Amino acid sequence: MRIVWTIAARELRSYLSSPIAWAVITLFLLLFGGFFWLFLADFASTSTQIYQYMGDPAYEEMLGEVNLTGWVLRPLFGNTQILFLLLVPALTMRLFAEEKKQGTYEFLLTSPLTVAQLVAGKYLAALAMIGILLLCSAVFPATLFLVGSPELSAILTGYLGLLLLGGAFVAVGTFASSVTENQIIAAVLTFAVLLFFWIISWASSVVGGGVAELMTYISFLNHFEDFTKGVLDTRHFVYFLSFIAFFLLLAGRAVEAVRWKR
Amino acid sequence: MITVENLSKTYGERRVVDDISFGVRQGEILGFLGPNGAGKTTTMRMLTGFIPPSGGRTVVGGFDMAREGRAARRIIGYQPENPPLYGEMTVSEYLGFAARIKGVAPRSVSSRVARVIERCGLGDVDGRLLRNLSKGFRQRAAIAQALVHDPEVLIFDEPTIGLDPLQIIEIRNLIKGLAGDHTVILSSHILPEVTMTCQRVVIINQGRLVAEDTYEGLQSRVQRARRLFVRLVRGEPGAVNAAFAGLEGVIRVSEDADTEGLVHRVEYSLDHDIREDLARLAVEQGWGLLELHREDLSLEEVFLQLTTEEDLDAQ
Repeated sequence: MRIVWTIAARELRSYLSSPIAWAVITLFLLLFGGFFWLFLADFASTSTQIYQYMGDPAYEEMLGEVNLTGWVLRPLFGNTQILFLLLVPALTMRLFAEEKKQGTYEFLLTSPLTVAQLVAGKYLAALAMIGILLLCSAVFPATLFLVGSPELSAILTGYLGLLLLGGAFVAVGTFASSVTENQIIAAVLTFAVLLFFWIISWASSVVGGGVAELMTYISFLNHFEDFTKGVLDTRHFVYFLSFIAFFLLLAGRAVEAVRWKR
Repeated sequence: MITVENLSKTYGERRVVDDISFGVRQGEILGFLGPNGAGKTTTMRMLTGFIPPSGGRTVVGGFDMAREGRAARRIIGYQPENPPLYGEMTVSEYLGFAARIKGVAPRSVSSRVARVIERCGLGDVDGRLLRNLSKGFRQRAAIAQALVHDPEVLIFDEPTIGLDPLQIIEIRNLIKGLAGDHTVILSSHILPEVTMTCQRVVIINQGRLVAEDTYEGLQSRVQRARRLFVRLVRGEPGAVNAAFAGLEGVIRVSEDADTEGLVHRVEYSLDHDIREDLARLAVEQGWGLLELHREDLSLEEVFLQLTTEEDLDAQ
């Protein structure tokens, strides 16, 4: 375990000294902040409208539905998925590909490291980057407490969902980077695999039947949605954790394959 | 300590390493010699467990690389041909990282790092970023990385490539100093490199093992005669030639002239050392002996002879 931290710490340091990581952090916060402002503005104008028509029973009924969770947080978290889809490949593409390019892969693989330590260390470093992104972005929802009373539980479950989603995306990226020495190919492959898991749930409506159910289950869209509603369900945890484990095992296999390919 | 048995590597149709076998004893420095593209790096990579062989096996310190790779890798220090450095780390950070992933206990990391920094002459640059270092220092950092966990076996792939002459001497002395405590394999495409540091030499060419012997042994195998280089200030060329040819054991004399005087190359048979006789003769005749040394065969000549010899055997 100590070795895993050693690898993760080196990787994280290397992240923080690379311009790509800072570009990703900046872009993420800009877009996240932009979305936040957009939804907040929409929420503000809608609620002002409602207050103007106070006394009208139709509007008073709506008042119960217009709240920060439904109008700001949920769409914000939903759109963060898209940010992750675009930015995670840029974050994970270097994990293995860069080592192969700069010759340090030879140094790592001829050391007594196990494949599991190597993959885990790299994965944790990239996951820590997701953690940093989410932590910085928390400034925006936190400001809501200054002006209103958002549901803390919805924020927390939403963030937990984002962490799991980010963890799943990073696992795909780790795998993609382990099969190539070209960072661009690693990024494109990550994007393609993630997009596949995204659109597979749309396709399910066309197919129908048991296959459709399976496709809906495989896609992360539905599993993530519950978290944004403030719902915690073990099924979703099982889904995300097995998704992560699957892709990390694949990455481990890919690293080993380099070693044992004849 | 190291056993290589029938090692082969094929990439598609191409046999890069073809049925190589050799062994290295504990504490020995073995030179692994061959021209560029002979399969040296591929062999080193199989020895260190980076790539698997297509056939045959390697055993290091009693551990079979295919079955007990992790235990074998633990006792190997490896300096790959391209320095495996992280540009954004300082020298001491990098060596600390290398020590940790190679299993050095956390409390001894800093003392180990300090030791290799001193040993490899990195003291002046230990706080600098690796990407800002000169080629010589980068090479030394790569060697320090191989030494940091004090492994029993050291494998150096072209350790002096791209260094200036002074740095080359330093690195050679460093490697020489490792003999005894460590078992070392050193690959090179330069003969003097290997003859100055190694006790035994393995020569490969086009993936095949051409010879395995001590350097002297190799020379005597390929040389049917020894050659002396003699430089004189004075003397009648014809008379000198005749006098040299008259010495016992001399086979052939050829002459040449350059700005500093007459140059003679005297070939003599292996069972007669004529150097003393020749020197006395030159002094007695007052020819002004400036220089007298034995000319060794260059790698190219050794190579040529070994490979053509093999071709003759094949016929």
